Amino acid sequence: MAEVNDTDAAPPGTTTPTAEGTKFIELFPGNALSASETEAVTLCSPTQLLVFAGAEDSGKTTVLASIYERLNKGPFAGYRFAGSRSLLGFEQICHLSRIASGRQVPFTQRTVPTEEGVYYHLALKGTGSRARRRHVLLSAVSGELFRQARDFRDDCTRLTFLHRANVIVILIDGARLTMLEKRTSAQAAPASILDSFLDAKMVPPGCRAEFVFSKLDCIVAAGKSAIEFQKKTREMLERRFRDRVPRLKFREIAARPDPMRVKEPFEDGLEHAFAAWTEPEAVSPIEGSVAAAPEGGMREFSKFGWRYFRRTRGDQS
Amino acid sequence: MIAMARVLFIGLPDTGKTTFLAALWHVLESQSSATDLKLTALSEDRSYLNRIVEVWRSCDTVPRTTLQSERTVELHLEGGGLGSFTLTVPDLSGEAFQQQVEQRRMSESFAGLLQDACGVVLFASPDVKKGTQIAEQNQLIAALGGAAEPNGDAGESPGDLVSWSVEGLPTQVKLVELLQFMLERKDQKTRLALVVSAWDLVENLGLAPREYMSREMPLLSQFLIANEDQLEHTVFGVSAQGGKLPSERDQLLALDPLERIKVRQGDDQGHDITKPLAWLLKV
Repeated sequence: MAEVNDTDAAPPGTTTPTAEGTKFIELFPGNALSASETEAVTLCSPTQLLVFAGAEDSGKTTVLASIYERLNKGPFAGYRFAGSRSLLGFEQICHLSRIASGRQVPFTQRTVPTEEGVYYHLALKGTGSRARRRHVLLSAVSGELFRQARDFRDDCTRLTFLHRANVIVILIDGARLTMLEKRTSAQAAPASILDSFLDAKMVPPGCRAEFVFSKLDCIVAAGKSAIEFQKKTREMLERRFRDRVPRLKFREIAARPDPMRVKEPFEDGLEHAFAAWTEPEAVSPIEGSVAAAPEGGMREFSKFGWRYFRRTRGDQS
Repeated sequence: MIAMARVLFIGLPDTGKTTFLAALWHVLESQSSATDLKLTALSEDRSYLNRIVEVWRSCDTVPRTTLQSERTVELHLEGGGLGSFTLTVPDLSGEAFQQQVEQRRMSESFAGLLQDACGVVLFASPDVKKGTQIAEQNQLIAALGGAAEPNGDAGESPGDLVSWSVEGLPTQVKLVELLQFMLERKDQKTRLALVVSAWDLVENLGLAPREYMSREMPLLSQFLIANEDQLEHTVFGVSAQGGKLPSERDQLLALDPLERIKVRQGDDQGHDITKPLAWLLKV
């Protein structure tokens, strides 16, 4: 079977002749985008960047896959699907939750821990008659990078895409909150991630930060004590961050609720969440704060946030 | 008035592009039914059209076009308020479009055709490959009182598992990709007639072609609506053959060939297979 592999591919738009003499134009690869590939979108249109942060297995990729799956069924969160430069990438992360995979239970493949994250692109158009086209990039960064960011400030400052984020969604693993031996760590991880971002001054003014309890169906199914612990977690996070993050929001979602686990009618929260995340807000310019240029050896991924930052805000100085 | 017009047929393999062309040639050549477009003169080289129409008239399966057998046909037409004009239709292989999606490359010659085309017919078979989720299947099983597997560790043996491949993409995703490639290379607004081929297979569902497309391929449907500013579209259900081959061949042979053809747009039903082209070309 043919594999789509863009590692040796010529850049889109270039022409390559074959042995038979037919000349071909290379098309865009369709996979998840690297930071530099996102420029095909960001240089043309205002783009909303949603960063999904969280510990390993907290459900970051499942959220991305579920947003795409919902659009596959029809208009979602007030939007129609208007296109994507990473359709194959979306299809790949959805594969293990589909019948075609041969699996009997849905599964999401973990994002491969690498130095670089990837982005999924969606062009959307509101269902209203005068709605404009909107471009959204959804980040997929492995939980391991966020773990490193918690451990070392230097590693946190390398996550320069955060400077460009319109919304930072920090997922709290709802399944782990229901397990006695894991719930304290599940509670601590997201707090520590946001603390690290703030400590390293990675959250730009105007960016919205949200704590999102994922796998809500697990919490609901686990009963009163799990719901109580979720409530305490929220209170703890409120106390810890409210003063430092005035626009802090909380949300709860079940991106892929298990129908066998929750039998009652169940509001999974994803539609409201996506509608809110994609709503652009005016970003006030940052006064006197232009990020320092990354060092020459830094990878494209790390330069992404800085380049955008310079172009959109820093160049004013 | 248009003097020259080019229309492109786009579609994956086995979606009825050549069968449509064969039926169109029969209708135009016979000049015995009321159609939006009419033949004004014979083109110089009619050999390809005559070859495929012979197969169509005998109710055999029209052979699909391969990369090696691609041809461009020329039709001298009038009608639909357009005056007289020459329509060129390249009969391109479905493999070429498959190649675009799977190998992410487009021939330079096709890119040139695309630039000059004043309209596009996108063919889609009603036999849609879907990306059904396991959760949807489990929900259905649960609703029917069965016991679906709860989410958790999978108990499948490795032999049951199928790895992801671009060939296995759902139909609507492949079609959206084809249209995205097209839009990237078209400078001006284009008309697109989506033809759901073999319409006889699904007409008993009682849905209009647009409703059918929106139910079976919601992602494609949204894409078309959301890009209406660049791609004005409509949806036809067309049965160019008239029935299923070879099982219904005898019944089809007994019919007047012109009556075999079924064309539906919205609530309008008829036998005029020139309608999708007339819609694309209308001033």
